[in-house]
Amino acid sequence: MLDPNSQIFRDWQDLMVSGEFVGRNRPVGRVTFVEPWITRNNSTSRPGPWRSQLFNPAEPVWLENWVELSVRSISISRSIGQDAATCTLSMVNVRPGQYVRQGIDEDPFGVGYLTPYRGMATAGVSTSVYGDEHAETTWGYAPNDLSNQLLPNTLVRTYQGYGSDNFDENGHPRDPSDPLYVSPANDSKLVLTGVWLIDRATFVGGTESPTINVECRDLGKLLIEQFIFPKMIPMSRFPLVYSPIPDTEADQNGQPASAGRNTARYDTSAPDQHSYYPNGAVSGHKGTDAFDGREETYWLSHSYEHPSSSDAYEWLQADCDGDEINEVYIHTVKSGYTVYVSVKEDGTWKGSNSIPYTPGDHNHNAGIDYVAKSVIGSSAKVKIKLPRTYKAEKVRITFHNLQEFTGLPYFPYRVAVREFHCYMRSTAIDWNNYVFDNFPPAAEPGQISDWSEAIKELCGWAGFTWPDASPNHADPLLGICEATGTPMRIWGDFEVLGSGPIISTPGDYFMNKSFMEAIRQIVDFLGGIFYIDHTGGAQFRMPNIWAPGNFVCDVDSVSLAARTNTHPIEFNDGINLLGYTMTLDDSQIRSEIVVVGKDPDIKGEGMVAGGFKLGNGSAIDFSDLLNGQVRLMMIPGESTKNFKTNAECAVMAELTAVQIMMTYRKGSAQIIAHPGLHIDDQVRIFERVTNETAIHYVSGIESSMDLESGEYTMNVTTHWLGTDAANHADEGSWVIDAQKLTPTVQLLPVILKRLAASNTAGTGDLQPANAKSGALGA
Amino acid sequence: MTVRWKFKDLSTGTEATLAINPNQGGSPGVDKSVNAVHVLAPNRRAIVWEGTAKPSNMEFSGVIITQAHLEMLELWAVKRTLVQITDDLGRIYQGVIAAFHPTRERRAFNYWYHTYQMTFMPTAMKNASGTVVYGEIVASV
Repeated sequence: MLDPNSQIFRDWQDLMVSGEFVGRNRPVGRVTFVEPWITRNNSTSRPGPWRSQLFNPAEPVWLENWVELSVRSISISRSIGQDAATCTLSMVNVRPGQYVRQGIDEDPFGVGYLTPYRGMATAGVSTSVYGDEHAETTWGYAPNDLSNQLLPNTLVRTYQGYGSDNFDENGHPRDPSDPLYVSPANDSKLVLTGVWLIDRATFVGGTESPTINVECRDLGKLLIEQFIFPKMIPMSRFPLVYSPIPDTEADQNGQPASAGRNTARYDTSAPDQHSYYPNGAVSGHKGTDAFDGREETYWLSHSYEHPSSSDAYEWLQADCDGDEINEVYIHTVKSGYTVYVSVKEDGTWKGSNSIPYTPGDHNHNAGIDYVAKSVIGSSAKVKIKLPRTYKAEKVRITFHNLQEFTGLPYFPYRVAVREFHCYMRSTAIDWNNYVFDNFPPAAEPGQISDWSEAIKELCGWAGFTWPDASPNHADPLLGICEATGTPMRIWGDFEVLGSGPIISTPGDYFMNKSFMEAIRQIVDFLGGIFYIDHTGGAQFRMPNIWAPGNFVCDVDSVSLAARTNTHPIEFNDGINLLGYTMTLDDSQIRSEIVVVGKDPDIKGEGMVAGGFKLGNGSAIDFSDLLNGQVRLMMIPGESTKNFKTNAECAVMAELTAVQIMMTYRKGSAQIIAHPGLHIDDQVRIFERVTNETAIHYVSGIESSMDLESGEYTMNVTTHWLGTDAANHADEGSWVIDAQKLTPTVQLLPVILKRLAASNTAGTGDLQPANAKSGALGA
Repeated sequence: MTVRWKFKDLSTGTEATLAINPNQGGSPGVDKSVNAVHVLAPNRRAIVWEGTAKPSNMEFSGVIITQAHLEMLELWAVKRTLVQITDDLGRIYQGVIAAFHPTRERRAFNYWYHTYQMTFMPTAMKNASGTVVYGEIVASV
């Protein structure tokens, strides 16, 4: 949902209580149209082209803000599981403008003003065969600025809310020619409710009812209509395959461990302490060179006369922005350094030992506490496990026993770092039946540690690239834009699940599929959700059902991608609830689920399959409802051909059970439209006849804004979640008893984070986001 | 002295004066689009919405006693141009004539006697004090 602490959100809450959506607080919908164009860029990290539907530098602005006055209604339908949300606009086909008179013969700008190709003469045809002197090829109309815009794939933005900054003193909307005109994007009373591409525009002829019906889909259209094949993806990546990052390193239990996303980005360094400007170069080498994902570039320190003098401590510092890490990776030029790892958490450097630094003729401030110490061996690469998981604000690596670098000015002893990474290494998945395939060579594109990276990459190829994400750092997947030198990211939020591929996907796994089909294939077996949000950004995460609360996503807010544990939006039968039905439906309920893996050998002992039983002792329990009925859901091997372990099958079975749970108790509410409400939100419902007081999950919203009557309502599909996730002593208080999840699911990093969020339930404070791996300002 | 209503064609500047002023109507009202629904609870609390303001017609009626008066109104009614009406109170309306319905009534000594109803849809109005109430008053050619 939008930020509940924002002024506009608080204004809406007050309006809900007053019930007076009139005058200056009447419903307002404004629409802009922009000529579309997809730009393409290459990056320094991975082959492109990386496509951008938004952020077109040539985006014309002359059309913005004009057509809005012709719009009569805006209908939006958005739901979980829907490939693309839809938007339907009803418009009047006249010259926009508050005071423009229409339908009068002498007005050359009259009806039909928005019709494509209006005023363009038809070659070879001059008059009607019936001699109708009025049947001219241009009808006397001149081409105008707006007549070629309502074409398929024009980019449409809808802004909706209550009231407007664009009202004059009498509450009338100002004309664009008015010096005090306020554009929709700058209207503080409205919020962006969708970014759309036109699918179909229907123009009604005749002057009596010159209307236009415009049907649009959101930017999911880019993923649906475009397919995975060379040209859309790099030739070097065809056929598209995703593999695990080769890593046979074992954890303390002898199990392979998977590394999470590198969260480090350059912060500062010892040379910066007496440099005239940050990230200054030393013999052409900058601090950022150790964070660019390229082994050939490196950071170089200042020089010392002796390698181990008491002041010869050079350090490099990363900003991890509070992300959880438990391991660092360091790749240096030369070897033999002693390295100290310091972690700043909650504003202090952790650890009980200090680096034995004595300042020389100037102070590098190197004598801080550290949590780990190691020596860089002959490989010049080291992975250092930290004593625990930290929510690291800063991570500093300090080097001693400096090495000799010849051919450089000043003194000979320095340190140089090629790469410095900080990440979370997970051993959460049960790898007992791990099957190794032949991995491709290391560091190849397509090797991923988390499935969110694959979804992110698919979105980037299809048109969701953010070519200039300044001042944010570049996403390691994309790196720097070759043409402009700007940091590139993907427009969207992608939650790191802590679950990546165990083996390489088959070569035909994504063959002949649209980008959306490929994404759905990944999303569905992970039990996640994927949709395009109101800003046109891609959203991938686990559904918001594990703990009470809401994600806050507001591109203009400092609380971006944060989370609140409250439920600011209520459906209350005395305030804003206009209709409500509750349905109990057991048609999808099962007592157990079995998922079959690839090529099960039914005659052997090692059949690859896993299951989940929904009964007493399980996280989701329908035993009371089924009264002893045995209902089996079998998911055949054809649909899970990539599964090779029983553990994988069991995870899918349990996550499928979660989806089944959502089908049992559903609600359908008609409410006064709340523009701050999004799908994947949680709301609380109070309705006396159906005895509703619980928290519900929002899976679908159909909003309808009739600008002629002023009615602005939403039909919302909800799913009962319960009242209290933390108190499982009260059976049924929350639909999933997380304490009874199987360890495999419970220990997935993403689930752990979600469950941890419930520990602070009721505080109302915005918590650091789970889903900040993406690009929305993170 | 009686001030006669004047019609003016804003596209040509042509003017005409009514022989007899209407005897009824002639002041447009205001029609807003206000709707109400109620919430589910027994208090039946009302939710009030306001939409786009609807154009409000101005209707007036009167009598016609001469051939010239009838034909003048007929000609002005079929115009598909922007028309300005200035009434006897000095109020100015600009818009289009939407309907004209004359009804002939027998009079022994006046064969041209009619009553009529005319509907005018104003797109702009300036009141007698000179304030533009709504719309944009444009100048004629």
